[in-house]
Amino acid sequence: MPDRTAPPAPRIGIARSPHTARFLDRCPEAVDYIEVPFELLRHDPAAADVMRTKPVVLHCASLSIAGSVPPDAGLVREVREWVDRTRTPWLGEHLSFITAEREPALGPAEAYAPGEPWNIGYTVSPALNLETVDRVVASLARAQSHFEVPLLVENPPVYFRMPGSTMGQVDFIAEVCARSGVMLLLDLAHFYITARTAGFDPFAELLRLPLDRVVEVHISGITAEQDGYWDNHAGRAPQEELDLLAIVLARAQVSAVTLEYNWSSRFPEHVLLEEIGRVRDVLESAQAA
Amino acid sequence: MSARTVDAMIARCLLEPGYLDRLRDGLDAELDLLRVDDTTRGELAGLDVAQVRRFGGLISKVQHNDTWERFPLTRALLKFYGMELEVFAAYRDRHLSLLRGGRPTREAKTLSFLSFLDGYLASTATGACPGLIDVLVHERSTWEVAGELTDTGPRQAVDPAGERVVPRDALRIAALRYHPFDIASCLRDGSPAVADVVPRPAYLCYWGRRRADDVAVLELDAVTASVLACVDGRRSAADVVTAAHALLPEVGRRDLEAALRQAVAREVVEHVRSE
Repeated sequence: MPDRTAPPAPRIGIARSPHTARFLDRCPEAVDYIEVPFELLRHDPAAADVMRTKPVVLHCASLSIAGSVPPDAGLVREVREWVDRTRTPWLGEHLSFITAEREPALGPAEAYAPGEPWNIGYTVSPALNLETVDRVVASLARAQSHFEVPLLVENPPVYFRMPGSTMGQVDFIAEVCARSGVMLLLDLAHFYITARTAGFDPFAELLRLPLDRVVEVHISGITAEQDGYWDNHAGRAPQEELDLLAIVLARAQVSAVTLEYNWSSRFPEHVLLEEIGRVRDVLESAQAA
Repeated sequence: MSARTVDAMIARCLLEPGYLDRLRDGLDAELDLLRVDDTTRGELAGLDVAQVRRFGGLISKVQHNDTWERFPLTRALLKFYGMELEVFAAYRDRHLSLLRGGRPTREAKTLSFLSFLDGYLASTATGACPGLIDVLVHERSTWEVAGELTDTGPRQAVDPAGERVVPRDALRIAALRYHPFDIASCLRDGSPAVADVVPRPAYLCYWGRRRADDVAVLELDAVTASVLACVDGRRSAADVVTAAHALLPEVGRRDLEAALRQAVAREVVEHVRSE
């Protein structure tokens, strides 16, 4: 299990998919832990059965940390219950929003779920500015007070410039970290996508991140389509991500690296093993260095 | 400017595709309707509406991850032709309508998307994506026939002299321009080979057999395919032949009758008494 007090040898985990149990039966030593989303556990508590064979790291996409609508008390209570039940060493959450208030200034919208906030059902990177930093810092303090384990924030992919943005994502994250003390879950696919969208060099920009805050790293695939780069948990990570991982490992005491290949029911087992091997090679090189 | 307004704007774009379309078609006119200050208006005017629309497509695509198990070729070709985001962006409105009715089953989600995709491909120039319609028809037919096998209604009395001809147990006939097996082979060998796939017309029969609990895919000649395509469970043998003759007027009734007899002998169809 990833343990913040253990020596700094990063553990390797995979995001849960419908085939994880079968994979663990066949390759019990391939990974150290399983990442399980809170949203899955909420609808299908049986997904927690994987805890019988491996430790679990809980991931969440519901707290809308960067949004203006705080999560309701019932949802926070459910997250806390799963934090306790899974004995996760931390809780990863997106530095994004998933809900938004109905804004009268925008005029009448379609009459669905009247009176309720918009619920996008997917995390969205917020406007990157100091007002949002204030909001995030307040949200993090409020959210952290509910959990016994540290809350990590994950950099979201930026697919388009959010109106009102006055700073880049790296500066935004650095400001959030400096003012809140929060630790990071660095998703390298998201980071690479954001770099391509914003037109910056990911290798140069990575060095400006507060890498000393990185506890966990995510690795997954990226698709180039329709003049953009998109998150893809059904394809192999590009070599650039592993090169970025090597840089992170040289500068941060990373505790865990999670491979997120959980979007395709047909993701071949041998490819998953190869991807784990690629990451393990990078980790071993970093340890040797 | 207000971050709340921006969040609400993006949320509305992602949850109300009609609004997003209005922004795309007349951004200035739509922004004129907002009660926002000039700074906010200026910022919103810079929104990359096309990219937001693609992002909506990504969300719907991800929310269909559990539907692809039976449609690997269709998905692989959508991906190969770089159409996934565009297709799901176009589908988003219908997807959201489905979600508003409650959490849909996987089957309901699959059926809704396939129905949309059928229409989308029929109304879009698909010459640039050879084989896509063919693999969709192939995989959809297999899926639908498999679904019919789970429907266990009482069997009707078989009567060699019966008036109606019915499938045994579930049947679909497809006339395809590109052979789906060729596409599957190309995809196995590496997707670039798909670009070189050549048309190979095929008549395929998707035959669901309850006893074997499987769906067999049979290659047919044009005559047998026409005859079986006319077996709708209501027609008599004579009516099936008449309907098939209308499809293939150049083929004599005797040959069509022979094809039907052969299908009965293979137990693909059978005669039953009329009720």
